[in-house]
Amino acid sequence: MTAQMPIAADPATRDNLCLDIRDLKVHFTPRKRFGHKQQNTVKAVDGVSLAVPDGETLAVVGESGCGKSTLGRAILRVNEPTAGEINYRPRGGDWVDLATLGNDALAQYRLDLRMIFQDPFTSLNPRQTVLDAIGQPLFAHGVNRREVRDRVADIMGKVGLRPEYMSRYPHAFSGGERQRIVIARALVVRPHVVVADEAVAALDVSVRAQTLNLLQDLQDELKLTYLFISHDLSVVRHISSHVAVMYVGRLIEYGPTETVFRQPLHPYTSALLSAIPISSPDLRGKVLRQPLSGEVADPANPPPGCHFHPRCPFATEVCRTQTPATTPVPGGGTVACHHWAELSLKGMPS
Amino acid sequence: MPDVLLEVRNLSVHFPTRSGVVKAVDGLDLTLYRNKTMCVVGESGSGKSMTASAILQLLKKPGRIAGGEILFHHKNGRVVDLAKLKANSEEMRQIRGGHIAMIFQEPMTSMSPVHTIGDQVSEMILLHEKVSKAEAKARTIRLFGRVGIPDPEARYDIYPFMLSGGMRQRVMIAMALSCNPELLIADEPTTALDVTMQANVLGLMQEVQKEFGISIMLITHDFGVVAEVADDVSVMYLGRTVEQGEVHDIFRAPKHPYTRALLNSIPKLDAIPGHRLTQIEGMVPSPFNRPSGCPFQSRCPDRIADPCARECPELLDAGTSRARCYQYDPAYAALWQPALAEVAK
Repeated sequence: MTAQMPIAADPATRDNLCLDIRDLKVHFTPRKRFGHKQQNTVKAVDGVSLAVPDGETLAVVGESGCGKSTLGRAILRVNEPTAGEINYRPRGGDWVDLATLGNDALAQYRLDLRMIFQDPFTSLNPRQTVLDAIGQPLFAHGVNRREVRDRVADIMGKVGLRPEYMSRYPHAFSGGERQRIVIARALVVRPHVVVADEAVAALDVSVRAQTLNLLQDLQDELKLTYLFISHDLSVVRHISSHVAVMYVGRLIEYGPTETVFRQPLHPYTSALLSAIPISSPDLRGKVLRQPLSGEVADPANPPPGCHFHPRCPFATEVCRTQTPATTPVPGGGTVACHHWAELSLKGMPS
Repeated sequence: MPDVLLEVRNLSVHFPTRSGVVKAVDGLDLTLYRNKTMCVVGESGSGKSMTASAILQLLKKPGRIAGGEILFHHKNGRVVDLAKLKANSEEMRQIRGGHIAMIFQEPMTSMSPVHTIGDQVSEMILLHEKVSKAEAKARTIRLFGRVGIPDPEARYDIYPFMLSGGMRQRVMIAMALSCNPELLIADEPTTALDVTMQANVLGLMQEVQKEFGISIMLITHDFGVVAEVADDVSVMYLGRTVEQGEVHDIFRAPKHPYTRALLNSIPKLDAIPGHRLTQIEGMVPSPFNRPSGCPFQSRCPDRIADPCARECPELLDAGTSRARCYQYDPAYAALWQPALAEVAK
């Protein structure tokens, strides 16, 4: 197998990282049912190697079904990884591979890695008060009730909710306020890494701006590292320092956000960028669209070789048969394309 | 003067509930022209979907049209007030689907899961026109081909669940076009789709608009989509149009403080990454607890208590567009002069 090259193989460059994921695989095998044909294994994440810089924001982008949520969940061991390493370095600690830890050993890192979910309407228990919802992780770790109240009040103030409201139930809050509750719940344990899975997708424009500003303020104040999963490329450009582009379970491009947006190296990245709606009607007709034909491949039955080849305008014979290796490129990124060096792709106008 | 297709005048939609009347749409004015695309923008709760349902008389109970006119101009010059028609009257049923077609946000919930996509589209043709089944089928297949469904003949007999979101939305567009409507109302047609599919579907809608000569009323919350397709824009807030104008003018010089704030709060691709977004303070007020006067005054940065908290003006001429704000009322404009002078400094 053309092994995916680990990005940060050199220990010297690992200094500024807090997560170093190597060749991570998450496969789902449907249970064999009597009288039915065994269905194909879904390779939701298939050999992803990724470095997350400490204290910065890494965005994971791609169309729906490309495995970005599964990747985020696997890092928290919500979905069990099938193979690979999730190397994590706690604050002031040493590297540890989360993928192989047992439940007991993992417990001490559970507070370091937290998650913010997409939909604030389904991710809060309607029968729990805000205090119980936000304080849940603290109660679970045996903190006494009085201290929980103090810490919940503190974090509510930080995310812009009035601490007096902690005995209310979620229904009394609007969508934007609920998302603040979800953010507060993730941050109350003073985590290190926060996986934000489409954290602002369900919010209205004006509330989205508030939430994005809040996430940035909290990052500066609490020295958080974000893994920001999103399909909205203008939000990604706004908030992230690095970006990882996924397609059908594989990482196809990674690099500093500015570099990737200005000069994408993978045809898929370029096509994604060209599909972003323009920001002003004056640009109408001036932006060249590269329409992508066809649909995202079925992860249970992906095409051989490069998964993108049926939709790629540059595909050749080698693309149809061989999986492209992940190649480091100048500027600190990587790309998985056979032809990246020959192509000169269009990015965002600067 | 462009050719008017639909005029909404002072429309109100009320929902009587146990805790009071919710005014989902409250004195709305809207004008749609032939062969043009009008984008209705607003946050959730602004009443944009309610307006669409009211135009087609599809309001869910206990909602009802409490006042106002919806004037539909037929090609032969006859004008009907849709607000006066009974929801189940023959005339309304002819207009719904025949003259005005609608596309919804989530195509899976607006299609029958137990009928093939071909039958669903042919049924629509058979209901509205006197044609044979074979002819309806032939027309459906032609339409499928037109909206970019590969191998339309084979796809005629498949069910909605066998298609992806983008393909389903194409079927919806085919269904909407099947009776050559004059107006297509699209309620967030691309919100559930990926960016790549969104670009394709918007492109398709623009193509069929030119080809079939229809007007489009596109309801969206995404200013990117507006920039992409709109001719005219109408910005809604709490059941009212706060600003209406030509798309270039709205983007270049938004007049209403709400439009300005909305445009500033989206991350722009050409701005410096990581800059602070301008945020609108507070939340959209609850419909039970509307602020007095101008609905936006509780969050407005340019608010002056008198007159803003007292009353809300009509759509006023604000130069390039029309806005519902006292800043553009000659009687009050002087109040904002000192603030504007400050900004100029």
